Amino acid sequence: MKSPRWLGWVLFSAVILCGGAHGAILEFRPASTAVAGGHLATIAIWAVGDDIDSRGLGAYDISVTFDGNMLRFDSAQSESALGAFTTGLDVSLLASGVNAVEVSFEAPDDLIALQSGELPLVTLRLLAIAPGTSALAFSGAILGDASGAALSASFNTGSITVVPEPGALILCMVGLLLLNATLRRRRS
Amino acid sequence: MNTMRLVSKPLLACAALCFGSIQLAAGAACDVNDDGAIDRADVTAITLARNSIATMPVDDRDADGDHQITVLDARICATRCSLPNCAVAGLPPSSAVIGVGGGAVGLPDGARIDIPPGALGGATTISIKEIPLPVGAALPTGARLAGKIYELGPTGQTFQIPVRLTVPLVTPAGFAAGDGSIYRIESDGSLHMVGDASQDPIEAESAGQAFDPATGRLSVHLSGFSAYGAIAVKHAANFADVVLASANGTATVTVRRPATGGLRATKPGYNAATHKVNCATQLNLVTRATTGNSVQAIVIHSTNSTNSGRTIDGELGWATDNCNLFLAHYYIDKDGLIYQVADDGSVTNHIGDGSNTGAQPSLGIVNGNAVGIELLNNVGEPYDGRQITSLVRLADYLSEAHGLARPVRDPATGLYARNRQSIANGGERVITHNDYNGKCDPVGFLRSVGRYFPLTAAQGCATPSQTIAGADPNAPALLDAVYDALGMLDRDRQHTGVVNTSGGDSYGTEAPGDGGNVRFRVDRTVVGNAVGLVVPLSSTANAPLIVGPGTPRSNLSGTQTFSDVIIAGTLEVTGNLELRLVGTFYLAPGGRIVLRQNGNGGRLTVYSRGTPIIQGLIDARGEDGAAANGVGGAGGAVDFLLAAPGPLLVPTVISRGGDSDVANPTPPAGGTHGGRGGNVTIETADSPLFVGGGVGLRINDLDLPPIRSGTIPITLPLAPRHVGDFLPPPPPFTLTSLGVTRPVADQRVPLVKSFLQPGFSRGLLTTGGMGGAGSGGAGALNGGAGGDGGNITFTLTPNARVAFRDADLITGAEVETVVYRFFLPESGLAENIVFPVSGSLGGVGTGTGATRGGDGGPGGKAGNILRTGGSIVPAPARFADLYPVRGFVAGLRLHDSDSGATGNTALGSVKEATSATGQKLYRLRISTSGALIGGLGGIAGGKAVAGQFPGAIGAQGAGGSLGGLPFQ
Repeated sequence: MKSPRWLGWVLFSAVILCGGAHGAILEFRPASTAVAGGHLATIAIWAVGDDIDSRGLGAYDISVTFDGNMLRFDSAQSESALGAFTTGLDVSLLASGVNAVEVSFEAPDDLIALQSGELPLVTLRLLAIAPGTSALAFSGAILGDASGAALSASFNTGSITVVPEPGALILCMVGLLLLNATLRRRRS
Repeated sequence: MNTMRLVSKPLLACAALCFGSIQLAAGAACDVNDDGAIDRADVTAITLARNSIATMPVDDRDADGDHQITVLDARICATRCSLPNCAVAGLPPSSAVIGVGGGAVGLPDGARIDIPPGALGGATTISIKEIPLPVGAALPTGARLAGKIYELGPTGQTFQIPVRLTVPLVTPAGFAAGDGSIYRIESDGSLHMVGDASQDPIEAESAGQAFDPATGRLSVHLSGFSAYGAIAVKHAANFADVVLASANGTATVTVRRPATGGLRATKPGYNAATHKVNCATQLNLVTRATTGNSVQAIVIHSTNSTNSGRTIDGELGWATDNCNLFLAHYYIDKDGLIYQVADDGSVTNHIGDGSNTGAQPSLGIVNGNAVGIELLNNVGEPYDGRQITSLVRLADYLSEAHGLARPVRDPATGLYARNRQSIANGGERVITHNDYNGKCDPVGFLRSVGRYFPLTAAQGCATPSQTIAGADPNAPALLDAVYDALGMLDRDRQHTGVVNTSGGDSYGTEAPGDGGNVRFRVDRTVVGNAVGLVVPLSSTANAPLIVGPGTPRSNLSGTQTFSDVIIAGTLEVTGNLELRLVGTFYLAPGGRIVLRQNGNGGRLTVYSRGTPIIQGLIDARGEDGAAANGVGGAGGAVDFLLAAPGPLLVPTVISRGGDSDVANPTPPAGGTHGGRGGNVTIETADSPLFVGGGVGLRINDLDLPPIRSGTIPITLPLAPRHVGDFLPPPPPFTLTSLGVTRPVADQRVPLVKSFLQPGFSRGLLTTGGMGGAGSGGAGALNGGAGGDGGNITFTLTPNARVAFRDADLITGAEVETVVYRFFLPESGLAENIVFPVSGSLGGVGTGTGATRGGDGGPGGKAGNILRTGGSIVPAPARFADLYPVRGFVAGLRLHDSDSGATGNTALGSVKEATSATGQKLYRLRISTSGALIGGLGGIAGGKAVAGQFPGAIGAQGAGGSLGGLPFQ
């Protein structure tokens, strides 16, 4: 688990130092998840990138798509990444997704000092209504830095798998077995 | 992660510079709601409009100028916010150390204190906190808390520059936002409305109480700290109407005074919110008597509130605060109701003592000798016409009550001087606060022609050059109109106006015009349907029509709705005009309404809630020979429909039919009939009517154009004589006219026809016109018939009272005086015989084939004069005596013994009714039978030579009936 993470940072830093890829990456965390039908899947939208660290993130206007046959928007919550004083998160439903927008009222310097290069923006809760795997994607986004200048954004995708209730149980049992085996191995 | 930040920040800052694209568009103000500040409301508005195309050429929402509205614009604007964190209000800390540079403290609910730079001399901990209503500060009946109470600390802190307190207003049910005001709550529990400490300390208006409907917050300037809160007040149940009358009873106005509470005698303070509250420093008003002053001027103010919803309650709350001597004497609400909160004899603070003007020359007008009138007017609103009318009436009363000179236009320039010198010289006695010291008071249109005086932030007037789209550039300044009305108002209300709906005379053989009908009718239903009895039906009902002297106004016709009509100049109407008035109709003595269309008179219809005052001329005559062929124009009509009039001064009505071509010395053909007189109908409710007038206007005062042209003035050698039943055939005679003697065989000339009826000065006249003369020749034609008179009808309710004074009620055919000179066989002497006739002359038989002259035309029928209901009362000396202020003399009624109707009455004689004191009340032309006589037939044509005979004398017209008058 360590190596991939370390490698990721090296690669990311290399990209920055080369000056070839400014902006931010929008991604879903977790990138993929499974949820039993009738339950809520919780997915966070993160903005990652040193541009955010250095220039700050002052506003976002993000549209997310998912398969409306499998998932239904339930609620959203701002993660207060834009400071204490904002317009507040405004979410509107799209044909097959949602749009989330928020603008910070914080002063640029305050905002930059407040933020890091890895920000949780919004947490979405989606209700699983039918089995299958729904892709999660960003259909569009406008990110503004602390001064209101555009930050270029690239998008990572994600997915949510809706499993039937029995399947979910099986997965759970498998997980328990694996956990049990691991603990036994450590004791030995 | 921290390492990454340290490493990457400088580099990325460079990247931001490289890639950042903040190119702010010039003029992209971000102040989307134009409230003068960039705050979260603007940012939110941009956010909501995101992902749309910006409007061209400049869109305040397009901060980066890329012609698209995005969250980037919202964020850019957020960085430009006027206050930290884009605060609108309420976000500063509740307590902060604030120094010379100023700052703000606030609470999450929006309450806040903004302290400008320089207000504090040094660092001071300023705080704001919510507290319960202090013990002992229980709100009196009629008042409700409209928010929270806040304690501002440190208590007792004072400021070198006023600070601004803003609090949220929570309007209680049943109240309007404009009822709410910020009050100071003293430690003793007393409540005092806060004025505006930042501006003129002498404020009779609560202009400092500002309300922002967008945020729902009240604000006001303070010079010191205490506890404050928003309180809403209502006054309605505590006022009662009182009629004020000048000493001679000639000017009256209805005002509302507190029915309870401590108003007037010594204390200015009354309202439901404050009258129970003890004020530690309660002050009494000084009376003018103690200062040796009298009322010498009237000063007009407007309340100038920036609270668009400000109500009269708020202003009265300010005016009547027990601890606040800043008030005017009168406040006029938008609906025209006048509230009096101080006696004229009390000195109030509404302009100052003269020390704060600095302008020269000194006007000599100060609080000590001036009465103040406040017009409720929130900044940016038009004045309501009902206010202007009430202002006229109130200023009229005050001018009369205190003997103030009336405004006069300079005869050379036609303008009112209204400058400091003319005021200082004792000229205008009605001035504005602006005249006094230059303050922008009153604001708006009151002081200029089509120009709006806006209020600047410093409460001064901006340059008065801002014209309003759609404003009539020729409209008089409202103040000029008020001046005009004041100058034209007839003090004694004795002037009787004139309504003229006569038909025009005809030329040649064409028909003359008939007179039009005139009606005054009380019909609440009809008036209610037209204008509404409670709530005006028209949105334009708050606009007055004020026509001042000078250039006639001529762009009005059709149906028009106004609050009131005040006409002191000339209104020319092409066609018909229907006026729907929420208030009333006032035609000053110099005022005229002229209605014409294609030679005919136009129709004037007035729906009015009030009682019309008609002292000028309503001219709806048909023109003489209006059409090319000589047809006389038809008279128009005048119809007043009234909701509930007070005492009505009935104007003189002239509705005669036009004459056929009687003045033509050589009639072209047989004469046609005269025009018919119109009907005069008065149907009223239980109100006094006054017909006539003691020293009122006479018709000739109106400088009317001659009703008939082409008459031949001839001095009668003898006094007129009446004609008996039998007239001998005319012998040969000659006629002397203007020094020329003509043989009678050639022509008989109608002599001077008196102007209307001889001696008629005022009253109601509905005579028919003269018939045309027959033409001469072998087949001499008969004269035309005289026109019939119209009817005069009073239909009164039982309690209505009618007073006639020096009034003529005349119907019947018009009478022309004709003179024959003939030999009396007995004496062989020639004598002039004077004939009053209605039907015209028969044609003269001439030529060899003539066997006889034409017959005289028959006289016209007299109309009826009828009064039903009501009663006739002695004529008072003045119309004003009819007003309830003084009432009628109890128990007096007109008796037959007062009428003077004794002895035989000769045909054609005039019968007068006089009162016991010798006053002429009214007169009628009357026959011995008690009926009105019809016009006499015309004189026969022909000449008395052998073989030829004169024509027959025309038959007398039928008599009319007379009913309801004392001596019938």
